[in-house]
Amino acid sequence: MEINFKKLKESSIKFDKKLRLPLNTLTINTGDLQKTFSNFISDIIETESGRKFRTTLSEVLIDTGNEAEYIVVSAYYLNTFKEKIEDIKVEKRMLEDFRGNKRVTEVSTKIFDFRIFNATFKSRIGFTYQTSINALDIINIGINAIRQFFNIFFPVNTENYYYCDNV
Amino acid sequence: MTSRSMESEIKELKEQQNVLVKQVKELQEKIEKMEEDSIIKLKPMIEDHSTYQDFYNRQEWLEDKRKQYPNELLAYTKKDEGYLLLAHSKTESDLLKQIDTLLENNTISQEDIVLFDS
Repeated sequence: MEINFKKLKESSIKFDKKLRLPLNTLTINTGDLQKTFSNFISDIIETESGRKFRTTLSEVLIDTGNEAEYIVVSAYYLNTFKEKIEDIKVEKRMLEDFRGNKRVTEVSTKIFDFRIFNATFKSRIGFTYQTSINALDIINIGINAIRQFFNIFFPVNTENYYYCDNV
Repeated sequence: MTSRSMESEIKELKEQQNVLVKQVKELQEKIEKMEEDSIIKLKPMIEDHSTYQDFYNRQEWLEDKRKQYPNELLAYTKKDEGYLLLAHSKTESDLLKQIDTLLENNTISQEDIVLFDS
């Protein structure tokens, strides 16, 4: 099956401000395997009265408002990442977005190989402790992390313009 | 400038115009052809279309909720083949309170996965 981008453009919904992609568009190289982030269940999240629930990674966001050179997810997934991918070492960094909001982020010391569509890129992965609730289930790809192949989102002779909000 | 030389210059300009019009037409045809080709070039990027359909369905459902509750945070969960809106609010704290109430009333359990959007 092939995608006719002209037709897709006519029939697609307009997702204002957010360039989102299905979760398994992105994979991580674990040596001999390309793993998706499906079934990445978070640690327990507690409400004020102590009741517990969990969330899961559910989509990928290409975030032009995030100027980090690494992929960012909530710190609620650090343990899951250690279990499913690798027991990584992290170091504390301050992630600052274009609005000047600062977030403490545990960033992997290792640079991983990621793949999105057919393009590969190298990036660290950051686990942030200050995530808006609506970003708890998102893998946020910072603009500098994917600059190396960004032209895949702007195919020649199409008229696609994206602006992504920082969530 | 004599009228004869002016006529000659006009003729020359018209010829240049014709050449340019022809070039523009050729370029337009080339662009159209490249657009057609781009369908083929982009084809290998998409490997699993069912994923895209699921994603599209969810985004369509979310878009409908965003229209119903503009500028609000949404909490939802997967139910059967679709999605169920659990709570919506303008603030995170209120949204979490609503989730807390749903857990207290056993409308959702600790095992349910809660997803968010806005």
